[in-house]
This record gives sequence, C-alpha cells and structure tokens, in this order.
Amino acid sequence: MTATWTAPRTWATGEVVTESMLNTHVRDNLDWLKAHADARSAVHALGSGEYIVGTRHGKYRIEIKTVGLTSSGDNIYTASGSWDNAFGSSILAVALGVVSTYNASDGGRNNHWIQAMSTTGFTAALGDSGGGNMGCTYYVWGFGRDA
Amino acid sequence: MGVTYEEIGAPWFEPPAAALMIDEHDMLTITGGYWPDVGGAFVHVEDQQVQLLADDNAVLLAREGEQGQPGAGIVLSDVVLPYGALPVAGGLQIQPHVDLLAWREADGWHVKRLVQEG
Repeated sequence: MTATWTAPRTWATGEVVTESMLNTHVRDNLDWLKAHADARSAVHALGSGEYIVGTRHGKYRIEIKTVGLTSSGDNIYTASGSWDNAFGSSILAVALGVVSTYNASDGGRNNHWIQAMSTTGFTAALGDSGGGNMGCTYYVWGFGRDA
Repeated sequence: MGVTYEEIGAPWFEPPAAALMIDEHDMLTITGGYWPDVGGAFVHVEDQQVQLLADDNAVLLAREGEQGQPGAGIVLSDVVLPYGALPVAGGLQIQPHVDLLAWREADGWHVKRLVQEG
C-alpha cells in the first residue's frame, strides 16, 4: 500500500477515536515518513566526472566568482577576485565568461583574458582599444585540487 | 575609501596563515606566517610594515625574496603583475610571484585574508 500524507488531526477532549482515524493519522503518516527517510539513504556520492561547485573537501573542485570592471578610454584594465575557499594543492585551469556593454566605437578591438591565477584567487584583464568606455562583468570558473 | 577584507576559507591549512592589515594611513602591516603556493607548498612571510604610496596599486608575494632587504618577499607595484601559475600550451608556467595579496579598486584596498575552517 502506498502511504499518503494527511495533515495530522488535532484531537479534541472526549473524542472517540476510530480505527479509520488511527490508520489514517498514525499508521499512514508513519509509513509516509519512513518511506521518505529511507529514500534519503539512496542519495549516493557523485559519479565519475561530476564535480560539486564550491565544496571545500574532495580532490577536485570548482569555484565560481564574479567581478566587475569598467574602462575609461584605451588602456589595459584588470579586475581581481578571491576564491571562497583556497585550493589546497593546485589551481589547474580557469575559464572566463564576459558579459559586456557594447557600443559602436568599441567594436571589434577589445580583448579579455585571464592574466593570473593562484590557489587563492585570479586576475582578469581587459584590453580596451576601441576608443569608448566599457562595463564588463567577468564570470570566472576555477578548477583545482585540494589534495 | 575603505579596506575590504576578502575572506578565503582554508580547511586544510595547518600552519598559521600570514595576515595582512591596511590602516587608514595606508600602512600595510603583515603578521608573519605561511601563504599557500601551488603544488601544496607554502611560502613563509615575515613580520613587516610597509607604507603604501599613492601609485601602489598591488601587493604581491614573491616566491624568493631579496635577502637582506626590508620587506623581502613583498612586492609593491602600480599594476597587477602575473602571479601564481599561467596556463600555457601543455601545462602551467609557474610565475616568480606566488600570489596577489592585496589590490586597489575604486572603493579602496581589497585584502585577501585566509580563514582557517573545517
């Protein structure tokens, strides 16, 4: 029998409790709770090639941070950030995503790159040679090892 | 113009971490300790005080300090120099600067602070 959940009854003084009420509010609700408690044990560790973002333990880990950067004229600009949790052993790779304002005067001659990365943070860079001003948001993924 | 301390959790950190503080007069005070390097290594940073000037925008940690020089291991720069490891074809290229410890933004200094957790 599939257990179903029923909002537990509030018992009144002098109330006569029937078989049906006990089965519904005690037996069925306990069955429902046990079924859900048992289901939790079926949650297993991550499979091969799966990584949890932002966790602090484990051999491999991914951190994600966002930093902003604005430019005012042609130059090289940098924006630095810190991982929430330092990598214990090595930073192996960093990926960069950019959401940027755009205007015609800035078109086609701007570059974004990762200038540096360490176990505690990173620096993203903007080379603005388009003549206008830019406002950028950098999404930075760090992949590293804790052991 | 304030100072923002960016806390970085480090549950695996055994030795005491070096701690940086910048006061309202732009005086950088470093309490000696260790700072993480790549490959699970640590660099030791000595106790020291450094006055930051108007054109100092980045504080970096050098992997090998200049012996006998005050502030050895700490490098002040007007720009953020490459640090840590750089991705290159076939692997990572280790840089002479271990890490960026603090940098200046429009709202003031940002300082990394290692916090032992876990």
